[in-house]
Amino acid sequence: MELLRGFVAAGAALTGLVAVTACTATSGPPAGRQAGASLTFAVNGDPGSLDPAYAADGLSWITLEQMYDTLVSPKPGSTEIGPRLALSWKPSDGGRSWTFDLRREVKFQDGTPFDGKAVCANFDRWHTFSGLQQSPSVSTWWQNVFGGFKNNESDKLSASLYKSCSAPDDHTAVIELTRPSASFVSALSMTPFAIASPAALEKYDADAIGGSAEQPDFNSPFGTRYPVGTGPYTFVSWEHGDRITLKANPSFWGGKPKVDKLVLRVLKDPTAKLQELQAGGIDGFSSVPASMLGQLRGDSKVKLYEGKPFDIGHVSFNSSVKPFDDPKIRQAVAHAINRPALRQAKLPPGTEDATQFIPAGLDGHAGDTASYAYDPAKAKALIKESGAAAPEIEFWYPTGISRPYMPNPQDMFQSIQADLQAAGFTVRPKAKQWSEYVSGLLAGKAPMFMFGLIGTYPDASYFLNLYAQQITMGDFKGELKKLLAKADETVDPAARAALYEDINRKMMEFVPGVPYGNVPSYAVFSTRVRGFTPSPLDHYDFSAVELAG
Amino acid sequence: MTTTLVPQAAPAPPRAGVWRRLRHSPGAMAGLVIVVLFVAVALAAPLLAPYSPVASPDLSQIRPDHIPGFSAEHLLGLDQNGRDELSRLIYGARSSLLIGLVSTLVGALIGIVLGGLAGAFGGWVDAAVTRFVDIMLALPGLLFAIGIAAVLGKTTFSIMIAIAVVTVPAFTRLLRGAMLAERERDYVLAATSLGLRRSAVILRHVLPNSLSPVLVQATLTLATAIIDAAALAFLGLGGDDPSTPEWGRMLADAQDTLTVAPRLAFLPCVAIILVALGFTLLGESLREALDPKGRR
Amino acid sequence: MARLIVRRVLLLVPVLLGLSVLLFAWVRALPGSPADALLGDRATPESRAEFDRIYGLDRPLPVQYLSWLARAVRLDFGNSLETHRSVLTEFLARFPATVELAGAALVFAIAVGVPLGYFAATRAGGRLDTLATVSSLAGITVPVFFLAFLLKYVFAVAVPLFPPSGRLSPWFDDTAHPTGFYLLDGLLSGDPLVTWDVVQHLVLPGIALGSIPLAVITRITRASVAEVLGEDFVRTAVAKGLAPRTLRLRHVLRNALLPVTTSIGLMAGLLLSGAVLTETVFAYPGIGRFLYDAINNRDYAVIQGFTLLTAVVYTVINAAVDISYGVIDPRVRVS
Repeated sequence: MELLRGFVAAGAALTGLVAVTACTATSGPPAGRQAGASLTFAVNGDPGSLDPAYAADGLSWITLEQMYDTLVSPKPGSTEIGPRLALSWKPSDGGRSWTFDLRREVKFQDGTPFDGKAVCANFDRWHTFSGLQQSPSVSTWWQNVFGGFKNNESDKLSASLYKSCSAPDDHTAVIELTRPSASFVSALSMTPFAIASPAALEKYDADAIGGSAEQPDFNSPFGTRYPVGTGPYTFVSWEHGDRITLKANPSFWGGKPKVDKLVLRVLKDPTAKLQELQAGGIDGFSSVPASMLGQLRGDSKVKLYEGKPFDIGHVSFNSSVKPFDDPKIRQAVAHAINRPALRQAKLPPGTEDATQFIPAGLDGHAGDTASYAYDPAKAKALIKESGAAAPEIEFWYPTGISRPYMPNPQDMFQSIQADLQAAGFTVRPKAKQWSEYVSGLLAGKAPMFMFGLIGTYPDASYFLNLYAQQITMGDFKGELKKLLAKADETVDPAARAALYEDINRKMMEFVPGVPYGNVPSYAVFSTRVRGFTPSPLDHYDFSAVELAG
Repeated sequence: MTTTLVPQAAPAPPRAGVWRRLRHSPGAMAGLVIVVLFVAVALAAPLLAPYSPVASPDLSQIRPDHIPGFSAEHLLGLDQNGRDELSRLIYGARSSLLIGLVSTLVGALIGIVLGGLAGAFGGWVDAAVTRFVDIMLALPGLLFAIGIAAVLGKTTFSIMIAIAVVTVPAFTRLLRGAMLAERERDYVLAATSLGLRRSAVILRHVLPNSLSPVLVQATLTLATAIIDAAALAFLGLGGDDPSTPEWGRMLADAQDTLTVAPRLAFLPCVAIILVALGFTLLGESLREALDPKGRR
Repeated sequence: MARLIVRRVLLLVPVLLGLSVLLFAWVRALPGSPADALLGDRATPESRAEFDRIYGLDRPLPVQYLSWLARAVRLDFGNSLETHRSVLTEFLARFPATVELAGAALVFAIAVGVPLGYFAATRAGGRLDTLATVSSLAGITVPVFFLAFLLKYVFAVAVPLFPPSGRLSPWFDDTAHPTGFYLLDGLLSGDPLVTWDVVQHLVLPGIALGSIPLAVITRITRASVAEVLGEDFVRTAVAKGLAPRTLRLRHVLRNALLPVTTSIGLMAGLLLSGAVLTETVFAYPGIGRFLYDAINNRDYAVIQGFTLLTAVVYTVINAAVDISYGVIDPRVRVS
């Protein structure tokens, strides 16, 4: 038994292997491996499903919007809604009926035609969702925009805003609503409302999900292997936890994309993304952390793209509990936080001051809301007026999460904590894992917390409705909800904007929370990638992108 | 989790000469010096630290991609919230010492009770304790600690408990083994045949004589507890108050600014490694000194 | 022999059953809800209640447990809330990755640790002995995640010799994976370049993860070689004039390797713990990191399924070690 010799040999072999591997390891693919023009983009995780109707989260959207198109979409680089599959649209019947004029000569990737009937088939499918499909984590966006379904299976669901759809001819779709709504067109720009091929939905059993409640199953063939839309890229393969491979759709209505192959690779850690970018393993990634911007700006091999600020970060209260039931204490907090220093030190360059709970540039943004400048002396005076000496506040922050509006929550928390202490508050920190954090604050258990609103579609109603649902604010909540309902049913743009402006003024009077900034998002690409336009709404359009060299 | 080796019972120690042997071992002395320095820094932190580790952070010089480094005013520069890094490192010794001590003591205490019961009674008590420890060992240590910390919430206390629980099996096994071996020795037989009550013999003689491997294990556990606390912090499980200076946490926080200020990750890690090294050297030397034959 | 195996297997049943109850109780004791993890900053109080109703999370816990158990015995652990795929599929997709990583770590640890421990013992006090002591100390005192990070920073970023993350380079994404073990798949599909690529991805995480077993193996080898060297038969053999080389290889090392072999079986837990951290640093798609994410996301089905499957693998390894010990050493069979 020449065991020892064996081990020595193994040791030597390993050392040799390491050395040889090291020598032959290159930062590029071996010859003949990189077929054609292939672009690899890092994404944060697998999509939940390849069926847009079930795509609740932004992670899925970035993948799906390569394969599907929505009726309308934000104009490139802007927050203004423009045409996509629909060329134009107009309301009638006081906003209860909307007529969409559809793009001609568009075919789904399976060769079937895109027409008014296809649009109606998609809407009717969403409207008749049943069982598991009614789960708020599955049809999140249908429920957000349209409320309930044809047959609501729970009394928690509200009556549906959607009534019916008709296709008078091949290039027209008319959508009837149960009440007037102006926000719904802009909501249709979201990926969950992308139009899929009705033939493929049928053929690949897109609705065959569910099983039982105990055994939720979303694995329809359509949603895992056979997605069919009208988008610039078609599906090739999906290695779970690793990558999704797409190839150019030769019959794309906007012309065949110049990139032959698009790989969406799963990489969670920003440092890993940066290293892969430098090593040539990926061509670009989104949500670039602020701490990397300086280094990337100085790197001649990459280019940074800034998407205009559209997210809102805020510190909010449970205004029903002590001490935050006292408006003076809420105002004192607003004056105590050094927001300019916070933005400068902890948020990416380009972050703008937020004065209210919708981003500047949207209809309904008021120029004259009550403002709360950084003023520790005034904060101290307000605390004194409230009669409380060194009020104790329980302040929550989340862990295990990074959001655009709070890249490093625990880091930002420490700055705010120090500001509050300097103004005379006693801060009791409370750390919670993200899911527990969200549960707690929705249940009103968090007296004060950091949270945010991600601009998902460009409409004031989206930000304000969500905020009103999430935040506990005593009696003011009822009043706010009534005002919001009224504004949403107003179709005339000017009247509608005036109503939202009024709501914003009332909110900043009440101070249910302190918005601290509108945060831009950054994407980075290797310089061989040309023609990318960053979007404030985190859309990634690769249909016009080219690869140099 | 950097658990030390599968624990084995050491034979009863010849007490005399332990200190003499320790004094002549360079490893032991190096370990002792590190440990003494570490404890001294922890105790004298307010005297040594040039600034407050938490109060009056100065954000004005901080940018997402710039954190001021070494300077005459701040020897080790500022941290990502504009606080003096040196002062935070010095105060960090306190938290690390506290977490290490408390979790080791709690773990050792539970282990001594369980192992003592098994060793003293034998029979079905022993069988039950052994099964229980087997189940605990069936779970990977770090995941076990994560699980406990996830249920108990994010407080320093819950981290201590999580780490303590993971150390219990080692202590239990060691004491049980040592006591079972000790019970077989001649003097126990002699004492009981002389008419002394068995429980008295076990409590007065067997237990105290079996404690030295536990002492060794405790010293080694101090090192792993400090590293485990850092690992938990690295995974995002730490105490409530993020402004508390704690090495593991400082290291975890620095992950976001690695490209901007690598020293913020490097310095606390060097501190952790040094202290862990100190306790390990001391523990290993202690083991050898107590049991000169069984060098392992 | 057969009886030993049967007894060992039967013993697994109560342990796994007990574990499943504990596991279920623990998972439901986790504060927070999967609904809020999924919906995040888009969650509303209404959406959460509706979620719980649809997923049956509002039913009594014993009912939930029994229906879960009834399906679990058929290896049906439900679907991940996060990825929407079956837990078993997720496990089978990631398990081979972690096995390859743990294997790489063990290969590194054995190839370096055994010779190092051996020479440290035969030349006690020499330079190799010091090296063995230092490396085993380092294995214990340097946190795995720090070592992982350092390796990545030096050998993948500063000097880009190895890929910094992942399991396979993107340009091999058209390779078929019949077994899930990429090392094997590359060879099976007749593309050794793929296997080579996988090896390159394994080097750095393998060394980082291997640092823990390296410390253990070095020390155990050193101790047991020293012990065997002191035994009577060795002294007799030396006295009889047996060539030192033959003696060492034939007798000393062979006898000394038994404790080393058993210790390797006991390292599964150690490796899995370390894998959570290593996989995190190297963005390696294994089970450790996935399970950790599932805990954070309250993905109940994944936590329960993965932990139970891991425990099964772990206990089976231990049982196999016990049984093989019985094969090697007949005395064990008697007791």
